[in-house]
Amino acid sequence: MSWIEHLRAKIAYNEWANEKVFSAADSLSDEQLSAERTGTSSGSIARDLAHLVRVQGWWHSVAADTAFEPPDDPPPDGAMPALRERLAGSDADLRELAASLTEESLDRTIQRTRGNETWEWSQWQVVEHLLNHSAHHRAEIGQALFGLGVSPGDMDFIFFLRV
Amino acid sequence: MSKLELIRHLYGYNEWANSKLLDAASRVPAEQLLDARVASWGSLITDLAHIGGAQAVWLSRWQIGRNPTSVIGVQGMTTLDEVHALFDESHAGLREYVSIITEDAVESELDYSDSRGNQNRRPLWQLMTHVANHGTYHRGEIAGALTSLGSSPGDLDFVLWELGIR
Repeated sequence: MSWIEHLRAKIAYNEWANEKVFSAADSLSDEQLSAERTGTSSGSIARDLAHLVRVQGWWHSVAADTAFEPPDDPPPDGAMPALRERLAGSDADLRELAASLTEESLDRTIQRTRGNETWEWSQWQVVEHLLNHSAHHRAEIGQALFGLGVSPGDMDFIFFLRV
Repeated sequence: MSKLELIRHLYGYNEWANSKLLDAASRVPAEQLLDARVASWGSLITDLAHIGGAQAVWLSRWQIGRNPTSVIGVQGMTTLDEVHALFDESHAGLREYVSIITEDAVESELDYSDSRGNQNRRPLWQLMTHVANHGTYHRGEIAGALTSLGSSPGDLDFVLWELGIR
C-alpha cells in the first residue's frame, strides 16, 4: 500500500473533524459568532471558521493547479449558512483531489508567485500543510467553543478510524 | 515516497513545532502556565505535558505493546522544567524509532493494550499518524492560549518547516 492511502485517510478525517466543529458552532447566536475573542487567530469564531475554509480553498487551488477566488468575509448576520455553503464546496473539492492523487502528482513541483516572491512545493507538501493547518485552527476554534459551553468533542484521528 | 518517509517528515515537523511552543511557554510566568485554562486538560502545563505524555505512551505501545503508565499519569506535572525533560526524552525516543523502523513494520498490524487494558489491533502507520495529528491539535489549543497571554509561538505551518524557514 502506498502513502496515497495515508493522505486519502487524512482528507476524509479532515472532513469529519470540520463537520464536528461546524456542528458545534451551529448552536451559537450571530452575536456569539462575531464577538471579538482572544485566542482566536482572526478575532472571532466566525472569522476563524472563514479563515479555515478560505485557506483550505487556497491550498486546494495550489494542489489542484486551479484558480482561487477569495470569498468575502462572512456576513455578520447569518454567517453560518454562508460558511456552511463554502465548507461544503471546499470539502467536495478535497474529495475530488483525494481521488485524483497519484504517485506522480504527489511528487510534482508546484510554483506560486505572490508579490515579488516565488514559492515552490511538492504537491504532497501542499496537501499535508493544508490538513495540518485545518487541524491547528479547529483546535483554536474548539477552544473558543468550549469556553461557550459547546465543545465539538474529541477529534482524534484514531476515533475517526473507529467510526 | 513511502508512508515511512512521509511519517519521518511529520515527526521532524512535530519536534520543531513542539520546540516553538515550549519556547513561547518559557516566556510566560510560571503561575500563568498553571492558571491559564485550556479546553482539553486544564492548565497550559497539563496540556503541554499531555502532548509529550501521549508521545511517550504511544511509543511504548509501539515498542512493547503496552504502556506501563497512562497519559494521565504522565501529565500530572507542575513545572515547565519537568515538561521540557518529558519532551527531550520523548523526542529522542521518537527520533530513534522512526530512524530504525522498516517499511514493512509501518504497514503491519500492531497488537497493543491501552491504559484500561483493552486489546487493540491497528496498522502502525495509522497510530503514528494519530500521534502527529494529536500534537497539531493540542498545539492549536495551546498556541491560542499563549497568544492571549502575549507570548505567541509564531507560525507553526508545516510548509515553513519543509522549506527550512525556521
